[in-house]
Amino acid sequence: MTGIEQELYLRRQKIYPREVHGLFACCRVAGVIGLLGIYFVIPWFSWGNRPAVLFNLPERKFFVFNFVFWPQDLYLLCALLVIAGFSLFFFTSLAGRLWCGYSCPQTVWTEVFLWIERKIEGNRMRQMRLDRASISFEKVWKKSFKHSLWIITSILTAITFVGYFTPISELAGNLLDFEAHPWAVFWIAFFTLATYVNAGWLREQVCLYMCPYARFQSAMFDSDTLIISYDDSRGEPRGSRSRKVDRHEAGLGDCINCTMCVQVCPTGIDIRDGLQYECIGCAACIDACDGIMEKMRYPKGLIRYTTENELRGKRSKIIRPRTAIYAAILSLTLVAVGYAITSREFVDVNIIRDRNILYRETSDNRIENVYTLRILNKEERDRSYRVEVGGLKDFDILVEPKNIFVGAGAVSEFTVVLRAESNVGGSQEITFRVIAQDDPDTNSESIARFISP
Amino acid sequence: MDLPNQFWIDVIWIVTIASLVFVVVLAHRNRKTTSEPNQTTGHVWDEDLTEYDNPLPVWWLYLLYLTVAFSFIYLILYPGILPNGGFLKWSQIGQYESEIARANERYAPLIEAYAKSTPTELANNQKAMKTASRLFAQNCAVCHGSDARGTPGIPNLTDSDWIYGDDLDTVLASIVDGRQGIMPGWESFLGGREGVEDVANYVLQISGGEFDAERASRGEAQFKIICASCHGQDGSGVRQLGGMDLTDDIWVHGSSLQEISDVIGLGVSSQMPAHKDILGESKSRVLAVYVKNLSK
Repeated sequence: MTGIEQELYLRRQKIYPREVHGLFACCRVAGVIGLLGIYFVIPWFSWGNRPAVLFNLPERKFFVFNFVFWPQDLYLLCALLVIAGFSLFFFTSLAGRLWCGYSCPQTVWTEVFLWIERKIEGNRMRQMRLDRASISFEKVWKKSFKHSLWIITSILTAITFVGYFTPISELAGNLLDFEAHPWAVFWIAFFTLATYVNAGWLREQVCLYMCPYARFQSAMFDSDTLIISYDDSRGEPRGSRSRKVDRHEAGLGDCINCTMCVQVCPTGIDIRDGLQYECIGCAACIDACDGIMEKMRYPKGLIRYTTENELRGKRSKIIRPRTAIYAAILSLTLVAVGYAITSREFVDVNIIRDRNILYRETSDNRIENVYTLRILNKEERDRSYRVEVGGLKDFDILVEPKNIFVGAGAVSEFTVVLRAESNVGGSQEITFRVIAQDDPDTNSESIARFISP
Repeated sequence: MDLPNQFWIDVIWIVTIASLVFVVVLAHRNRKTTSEPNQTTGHVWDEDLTEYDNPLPVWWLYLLYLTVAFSFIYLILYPGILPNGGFLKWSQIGQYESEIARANERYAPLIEAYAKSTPTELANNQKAMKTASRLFAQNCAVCHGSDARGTPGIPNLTDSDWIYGDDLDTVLASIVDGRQGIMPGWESFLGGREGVEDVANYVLQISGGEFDAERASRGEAQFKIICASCHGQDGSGVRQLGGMDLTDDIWVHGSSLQEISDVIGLGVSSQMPAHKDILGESKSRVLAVYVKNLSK
């Protein structure tokens, strides 16, 4: 132990990623525009007389185009999470951090904020110079203009987000009239702040210190996983040189040590140090390096999507137990969920036995049991139902609701009293089946018990 | 609050604040280290995996300060440092009461509209009857059953027999003020079980049941003396007193000789609780209309 004192905590060094053009940058821009387009447009679609996509938390109903999901369908959400999880595993084992590089909201919104920053403050050099400069009129207006645009973007993002939980056309109208619900305003403020801080200030800090995926993704990697890698054997020894110099004669590798790959990196790492957990797989260094290689008239791909096996001169396999198992589980869950969603019952019945008495004995020795049928009509249309009782011999339905009508998306309760002609003895399993009057396929069955002395 | 006394409450918040201050001081004084840079933590996994002991991002430290600041604000706003529920005067019962007040405020217009409607209007108002059915399920079904057909000892509300009378005001009075039904026990007066069963036979006779004619005629004399004051000379009941009609085939406490004799001999006392504090006049009225409508 030497006595040099150093900070236990590291202050964030702002990263100024250089603008990059190329194939993968195009892919990302396409991804950003496409995903943002979907995000901002979807809440405005209508389906009949309701928003096409609406997660109505107070009413506990999720509307997704023609589907209406009830709390009873919550297991589908678990299945959805399973699908999301296994897609992530599958694509990670196949092609590394595709999610991080192209579609993670953190990447998407950071990309937008970087674009705004570049438009106002100029390129990397200008941004660095502006930050170093002492306070001036130019600095003040550029900074305040940039932050205003960031905040406007954040507000739009937040309003849209809240628009998934409350009809957005109403929300927008209320906001313009200053009549929005305090909770809506709170959540808009919350998500505005979150967007602004995450995409404006935290950026790579989220990937490095917050994101759990960044930490466990390496568990899904193997030697056949596509990674972004610098080709050591081709690049080294690195060194600057004139374009006229023959690198082979000079004993130099292909890397001219221009540090372009470092300058474009949004997480501030040097890809030439090998695979690092900080690398979000955005491929900006590939685009940057390819541009340089082109200028040097060297073959492209000094930094490229490759695999560890390929770098070692071996063949890499796409289909291997890991990817095959992930793919199998993924497709199985997809099929199962698809089936579950399409074959959902649109009516649900719960049987509640009266709790105050197990049974009633009439003066002529017949046994009565009282049930409350709680019927959920999950459809977006009114329904009338009839009830069939099974599993009991010699009985009649003493009290039967005359008209079992349940409004669209409503829950109603009906009392049914069964009377057995004789003592059936003990407890017996019976079934209630609720069937839609004009559509026998819409039905649901529930098990109850008939109790006698 | 059911804590033993103020002493322990003080101990708790003083210890809490002391530890919060301790955490902040500890974190603040240990921002610097004297170890060499690029050290590893010393742990080795999977043969050769080691971990750098790199500096943490400084905003993590700020997050710690933020949570401590949050704790202080929380301790002041909610029951903590300040006596009597903190700055916000928060308490569980207070939150419950404010929620009830909010619900009452929300449903007041609806209930008021019901209060202004006539009984016929209410009966034809589907929404009002839906409200009533929910009130019934919450307040009445526990004894009368969710089919309102009663349980042993508790009257069936769906038949046409009304113990206290079938007009709306009487039904409403039963709900609002409750009823205290008392049938005294007559065994000693009637000279034991024999005499009781004689009267029971007479009761079976007037209600159309199976009976022993000789015993019934002995019972009839006693009936006219002791039972008629509440149940009427002909046994059809005195509504004002809650004396039940014994001439029909409707039995609250059972219809066998055994059950009838038990009631006559030992008596029975039953209670319908008053609901004016629970439901209030307006809701009770909607409920009364609903209950009257059940009887068909």
